Amino acid sequence: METQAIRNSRVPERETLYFEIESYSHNEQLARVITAAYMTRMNPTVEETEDVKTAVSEAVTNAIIHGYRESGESVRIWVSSQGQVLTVTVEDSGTGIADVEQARQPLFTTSPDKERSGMGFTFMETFMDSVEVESELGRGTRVVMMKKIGTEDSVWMKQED
Amino acid sequence: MADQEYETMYEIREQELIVRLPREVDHHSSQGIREVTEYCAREGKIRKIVFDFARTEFMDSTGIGILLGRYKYMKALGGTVALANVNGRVQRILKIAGIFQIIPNLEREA
Repeated sequence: METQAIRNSRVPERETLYFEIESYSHNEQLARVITAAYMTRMNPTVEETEDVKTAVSEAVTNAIIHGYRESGESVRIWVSSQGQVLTVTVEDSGTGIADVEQARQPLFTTSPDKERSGMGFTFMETFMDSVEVESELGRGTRVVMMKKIGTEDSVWMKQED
Repeated sequence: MADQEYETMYEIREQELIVRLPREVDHHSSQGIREVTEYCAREGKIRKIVFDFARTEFMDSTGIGILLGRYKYMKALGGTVALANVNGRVQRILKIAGIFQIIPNLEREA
């Protein structure tokens, strides 16, 4: 119990980082790096970090390309943790998705001319434990992704070192 | 960082175009790959495109779209596409997308 107490005194049980990026393609990398930096406090494996970076990249790229058509408007990102569960929310006020069910199908894309693979949502689902999508035409889209990071064991091991 | 590792580099060897992908392959870093490969295929009579992943540590689904697009383009011209120096993370992404069933992995230095 002592190690648990030490851990809690260092990092609050629940904490949220919020940031906004303008919807330009060069900010995709920034969104990934900021999210990965937040995650370091959760003691993730390299693979977990890469998984989350990929999922964030997909959601943010969708917002930039499809939501805003690269017009420089605001993409809002929340990164939070509760215990070992990471939640990343990516929100835009762009065009919205007409049929979310269809958009989530592998290989479905509205931009085949731009050589988009249609694998964005598939990758989010593959690399995160859960993905929720809310969207309204003309209002925007919100993607909420969750993933359990590390195991209780690795946290305890780390604290006992 | 206007570093070269963030830029795609191109090299032509006889009828082969080698595309040296950057450290991170995403929607931003991959802009222009389509135009350059089409220009080289048209003007340089390229028969094969080799995508070299030696420098690549990150790739999202944008990379999949590019590979499939270039594969279809070259196939229509009677040419081919191949992959080289695929590492751990990229390998995982390519495997999930089923790319190895379509595009051969040379596993060699390009």
